[in-house]
Amino acid sequence: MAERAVPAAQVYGLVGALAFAAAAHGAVLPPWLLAGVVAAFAWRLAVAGGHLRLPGRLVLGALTLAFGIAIALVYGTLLGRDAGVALLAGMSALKLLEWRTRRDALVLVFLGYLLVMARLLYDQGPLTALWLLLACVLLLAAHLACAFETASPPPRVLLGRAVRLLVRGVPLALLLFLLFPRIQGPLWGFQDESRARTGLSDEMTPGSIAELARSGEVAFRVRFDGAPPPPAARYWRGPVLDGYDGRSWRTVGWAEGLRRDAVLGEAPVRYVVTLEPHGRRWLFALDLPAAAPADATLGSRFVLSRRIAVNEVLRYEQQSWLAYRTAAPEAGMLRLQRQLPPGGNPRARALAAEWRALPDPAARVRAALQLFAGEPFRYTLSPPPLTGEPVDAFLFDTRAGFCEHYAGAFVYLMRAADVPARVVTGYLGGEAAPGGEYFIVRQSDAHAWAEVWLPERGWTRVDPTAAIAPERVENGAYGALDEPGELPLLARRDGGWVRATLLELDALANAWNDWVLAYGPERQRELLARLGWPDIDWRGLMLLLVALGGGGAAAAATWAAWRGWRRRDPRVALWNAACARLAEVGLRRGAQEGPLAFAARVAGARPELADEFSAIARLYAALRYGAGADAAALAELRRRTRAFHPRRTP
Amino acid sequence: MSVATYVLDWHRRRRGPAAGAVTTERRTLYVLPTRAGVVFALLLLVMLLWALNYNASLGFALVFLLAAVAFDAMRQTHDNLLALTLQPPRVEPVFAGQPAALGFGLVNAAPRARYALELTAADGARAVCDVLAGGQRAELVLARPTTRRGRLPFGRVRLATRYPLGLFEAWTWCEFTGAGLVYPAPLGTAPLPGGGGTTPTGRGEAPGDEDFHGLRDYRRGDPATRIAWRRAAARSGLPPVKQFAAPRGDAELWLDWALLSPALDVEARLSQLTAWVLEAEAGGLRWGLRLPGMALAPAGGAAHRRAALEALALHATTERSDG
Repeated sequence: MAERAVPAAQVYGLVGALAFAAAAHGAVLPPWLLAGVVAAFAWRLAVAGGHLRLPGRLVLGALTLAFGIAIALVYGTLLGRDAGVALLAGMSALKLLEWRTRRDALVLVFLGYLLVMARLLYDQGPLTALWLLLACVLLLAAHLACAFETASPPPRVLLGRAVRLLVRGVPLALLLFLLFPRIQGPLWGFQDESRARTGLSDEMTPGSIAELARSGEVAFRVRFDGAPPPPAARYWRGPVLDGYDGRSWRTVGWAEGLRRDAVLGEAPVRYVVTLEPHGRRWLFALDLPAAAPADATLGSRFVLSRRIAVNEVLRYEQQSWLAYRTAAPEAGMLRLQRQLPPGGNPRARALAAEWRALPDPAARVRAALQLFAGEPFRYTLSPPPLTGEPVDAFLFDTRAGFCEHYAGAFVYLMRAADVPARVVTGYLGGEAAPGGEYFIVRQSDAHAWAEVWLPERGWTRVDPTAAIAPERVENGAYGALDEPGELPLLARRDGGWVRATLLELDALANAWNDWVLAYGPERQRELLARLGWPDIDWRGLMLLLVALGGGGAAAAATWAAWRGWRRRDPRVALWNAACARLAEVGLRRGAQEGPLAFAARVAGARPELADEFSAIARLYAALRYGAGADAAALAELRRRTRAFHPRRTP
Repeated sequence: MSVATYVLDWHRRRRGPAAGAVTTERRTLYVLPTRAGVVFALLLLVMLLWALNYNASLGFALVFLLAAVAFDAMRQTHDNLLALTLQPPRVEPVFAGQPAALGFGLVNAAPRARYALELTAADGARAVCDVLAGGQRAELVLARPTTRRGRLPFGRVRLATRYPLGLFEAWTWCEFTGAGLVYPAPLGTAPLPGGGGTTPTGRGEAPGDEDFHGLRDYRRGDPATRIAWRRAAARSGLPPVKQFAAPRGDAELWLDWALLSPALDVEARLSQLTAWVLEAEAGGLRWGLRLPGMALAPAGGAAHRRAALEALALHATTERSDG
């Protein structure tokens, strides 16, 4: 087939749609690639405008080779998000410069869909969803334009049709979204664990949690089944840290193999957590989690963890015991939790050696808490730096710190006093959303506390921060800090109307998380159970999908047929037949031309048809726009139309 | 392609050739994914795996939305072709070797518009109509090469559309019983018969050869003796041919099969007669045509010319009766 230049309007439409899809990736692309893509887009536009020519095969081949080498050098791989996006953007740009046929145009549109998809691996908020819809409309309009060879409709019409296509697809898409059998990903193991996300880590150094507390980002949201537990019980358990190297606390091994201590619990509280992606494997639960949600395990330190990192919004049902007693842990575990690095912090060790004389470990705990309560300790986000021996410097010199200082020093003292102890990190508290239906736990609620092992009670939570700043437990960091102004707006309690509005909007984000982002295998099972299919498997789901989809399609077809039958108005059908016969002899009715105007034009062009056709037009106009239905007039229209056979001009 | 052949066999069993206009209906309308459609399906599969691997819920939403749009597009492709009327083509007779233009009328009697309709013939000739508004008619012209004189059967054409997204193609075949007409190619170098025994005036000179009347462009079949070679060398393009005005009225020319040497085969004789007919008519003569088994009385004018050419086209063919 002969090569024809692509119509300029089609180029503008497709380049616009692709630019819209690619622009969202601007921040991810390296600058050289971004510049290259922009240049390619501009080049293609200039070609459409008639100012430049498309590059020849040699130039294009050289560009492609250079691009491939650059990608391989910069990323070293073609797998992974960033490399994939760079590849897609570059391929779109190169393909644009090669676009000559309709097939190329379709390939470009397909690349556009992939670019939209790639964006969702970075962000899936409601705004991104809006962007997605817009991008789809633009791409579908460009896709539609590919169908036309010469006269593509104006952009407004194409966009309108694209919107209609999209809207018509929504019911089936919704059905598929809800019922298509979901399985828990990933299918194969490339996960970017390195993605930097805000959240707790498995290492705690002085200042690390204070840093986190400056972020107002949401860590997770919680909906309680019954009455929410009191603030003093809202300790959300995260990673447990039991190794100390003189500076940092960290999780020693993962110790999955160790037996979990038996627990006797009472008064379980049930709730649902919607966890924001934090890039780590652990999940959060109220102290002490009673069971693990599907696909997660409860480890030997009572930490919930999943097989894979949480890189998506995760929703799980959970229950916890607020009152519990744990059995004796393994001896190895207790030994581990008495260990300190040899030497260092002589003053703290001397103090602990005094407490060691107390026979009851609980008395040693009380002695330590009295130390914190009795001396002038301050609760602050920005304590002075600790020099020399950090624990000694904190306990006896600066006496100012955030929760990690208190928890770390306390556990150090306890271990020095021969009480098994460990640091627990997580969140404390959370703010009730405006409607009171759920609680928002933010990074600013991040907290660290301690756990000691007492022979008669098992593992027991001790929060030394509460001894210094009891308001922290009741009201969050805002009420307890020396400098509340350093907290982000959303973590404060005095934000005024801006904060109030943002909190109202949070309900939207919460609903989005619950119903869109966290809709996975679990949620699907839940929904189906509520609909009356508690144990449906994927085959059942497929059947259900086919049945509902087929039924829906049949219903839609019936409705369309009925509407078509309704629309087959005899007056319109007769009039159309008469007009079609005139069109055959070269007299076409304009799209906006009324019957009488058309009859006048026909009379002018073909006077011999004037009588017959004017009569038909008058009858039709009277029947259609006149007083009302008239059987005799309709019969007359039918008779005249059947007898109307215009000939070609001799 | 084997699928298409299979569908074609099935189609022919269900609907034979038609004499009049054909309206597309559900039972003879077929829809299959195009290659782009198959690629799109693979693309959606890749995107689905991608969404699964990253647990990207919004990714699932995008995949399902695109799948639903494509599914709906299949129905629209089907409906875009439904209830269209294809009329048998109008075709002007041509001389063998010239392409014939088959003008198929496509009528959309429904109120809604149709888009991107494509008509193709078995030989690959193709015509498109981008927009056909409600109640309108369009003419789609397919060029068909001709090689032999006689009837030119309309044959089977394929009416197809890929609107809206090019992912599916809906098509049907329409076969028409009618045929166009191909005149013999006007070839042959023999001069017009010189009024010989059949010319009552008996002036001894070939009529139409005497008074130089002017020059016109060369047409196939013009005798080489008439070409104004000296002028031809001076200009580019078709060589000019000398035209001679013959005195009207008194000369009656018979173009007779029997005048031609029996050594020539039938087609060559018919071609020569065709060339004579054109020449005689161009010269404004009164002429008659005599073929084995038929004769046209001397006359002139377009109708006479048409009758003569038709007789030549259908000479000794099996289906000359309806001419």
